[in-house]
Amino acid sequence: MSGADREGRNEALDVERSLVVRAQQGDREAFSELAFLMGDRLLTIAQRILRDVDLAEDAAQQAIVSIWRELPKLREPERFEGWSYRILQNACRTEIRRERRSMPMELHRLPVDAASGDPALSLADRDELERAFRQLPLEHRTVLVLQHYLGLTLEQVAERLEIPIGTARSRSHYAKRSMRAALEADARTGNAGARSA
Amino acid sequence: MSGTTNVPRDFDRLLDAWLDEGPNLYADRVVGSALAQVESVKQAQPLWPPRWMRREPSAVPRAFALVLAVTVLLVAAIGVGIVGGFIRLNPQPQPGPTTDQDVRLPQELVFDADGFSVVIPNGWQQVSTTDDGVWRFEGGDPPGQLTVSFGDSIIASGVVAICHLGSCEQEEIESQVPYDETRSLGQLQVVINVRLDPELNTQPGLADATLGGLAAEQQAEVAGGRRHLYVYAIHESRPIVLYWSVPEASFTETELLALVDGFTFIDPPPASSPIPGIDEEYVEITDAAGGYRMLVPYAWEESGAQEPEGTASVRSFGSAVDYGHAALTITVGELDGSIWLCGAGGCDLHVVNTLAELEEAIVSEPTDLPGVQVIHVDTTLGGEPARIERLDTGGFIWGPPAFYNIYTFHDGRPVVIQLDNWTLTNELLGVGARNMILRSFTFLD
Repeated sequence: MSGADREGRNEALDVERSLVVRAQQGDREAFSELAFLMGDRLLTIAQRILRDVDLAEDAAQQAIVSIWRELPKLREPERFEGWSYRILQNACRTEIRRERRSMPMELHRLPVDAASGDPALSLADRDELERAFRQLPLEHRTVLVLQHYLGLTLEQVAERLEIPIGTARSRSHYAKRSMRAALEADARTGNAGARSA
Repeated sequence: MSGTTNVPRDFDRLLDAWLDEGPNLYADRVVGSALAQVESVKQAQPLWPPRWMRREPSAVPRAFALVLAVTVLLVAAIGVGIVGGFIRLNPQPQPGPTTDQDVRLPQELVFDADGFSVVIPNGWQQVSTTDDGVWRFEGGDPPGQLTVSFGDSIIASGVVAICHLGSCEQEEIESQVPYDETRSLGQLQVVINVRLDPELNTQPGLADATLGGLAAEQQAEVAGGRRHLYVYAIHESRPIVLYWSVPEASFTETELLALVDGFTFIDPPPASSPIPGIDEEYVEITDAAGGYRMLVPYAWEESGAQEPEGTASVRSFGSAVDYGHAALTITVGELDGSIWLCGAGGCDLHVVNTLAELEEAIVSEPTDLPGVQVIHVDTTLGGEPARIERLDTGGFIWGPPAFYNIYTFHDGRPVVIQLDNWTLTNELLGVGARNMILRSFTFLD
């Protein structure tokens, strides 16, 4: 990160912190600004975790309402970002439960723009990744999304989620091992199919 | 062709690429809906003086301040002990090891009128009568606590006390229309999670549970040498929270199981519903002056609107989100066709004799936004040919307000139902509620 980038990031954090403090005092205007500031980020993370846009919208909306309600209890405003991820994680859990109670989870592959999709990913990869990811516990999905979508290091993931670094490592390791196993199993099945054909 | 799967190539890169592929999402609509919801949500009270109210650290070194504080407390405690006789200066022998008679056997306490029975360890007792929806029990040595908080219906206020150690705090579980129990349970989960650990530094052990035959959740953690356990559920739209706190050393699974398994809801015998077969989220209203009957969402209270002259009946319900008018207004005019019609700009008296004239008199809002078109659709209302006037906003809900008008004539009298789409959307009512309201509309004759 260049000096200018770092400076920009620090300025953004200062703005966010100041909005958090004002919102903690009940300033709805500040909260509105804060909500628009974090909205895209929360929605996108929720979508990556839940793999469903509708559920993600519900989760993000509920998370924003919870953040407003619980904000006065946050002691350290500088920890807001990670705290908001944990509220979002709770909201995602609720949405998964709602979905499970209302209907069995179905596999909806997200539309991928052929032009922008990574050519290294085959259709089978996507299916298997989707399937394996959905089998993961919510906490493991969250770690993977923060690590591989937001591009955080495991130390940063641990810091944001306020979990021990060892826990972040083991969740990431376990999650990837499960997903890799699913892909390998699929590759074996495919190869066997190709041989027998 | 699954045989092309590249395993075990650089899996991290594969994962990066896959997660990156999802759609770019813009949350404006979601944030707008959340903020509209936030309008009616009260913030929780801080559990400590917030930073802006805290004093700056004093110049006294912390260690010295700590020693001073401990000394003062010790002196005070000894003083109180001597005066109150709590501290024995010549200690008596401690009780011997536990005998069979000390084994804590559960006992059931039945609260018929309050709608539950609870199992508490033998020797425990209720320590206070409740006037805040909390039943408190204590016992054991060192002492343990149990509180049972039975909140108000989520459809009404949703207030429930969340207790932790000695203090209970009122929290509000927001109403959801249509009522969504899982989401309410999720909100309760967040409230309790934050109560256990405001910074959410830890994820208290979260597990599914059963309480009185209901699907419930439990969260537990060990802190300060005590085990804190919450078991919570939603019963008949009322949040219920059991909080159990015992010294970790005296925690037993048997007591926990007895507590959770022994809890029972005592439901009153079913009474005949005033509106048989109707979804309880709605209430039926009958308007003799206007000559109709219909369903209205329970959460929308009737406002005391005054009937202007020249109109047989005006009934208004709910408060439109972010705006001063009602969420739902039903206006029935007089036989001579006179009717007061209200919009965001105020009310006007019209005299109309045909559906076309009535349509002309209705002004939908907002009309001054670019790209907004007024749409008219034929329909029926209470068996009469009717029209709908609504705005096509290109899929985006402008507002507030965003009126949806349905109007007809019945026995020569103009009838207009005005719904606020903005409120329907933001209260998550949506099309289902609109259909429920309109389909239920019946003329009394």
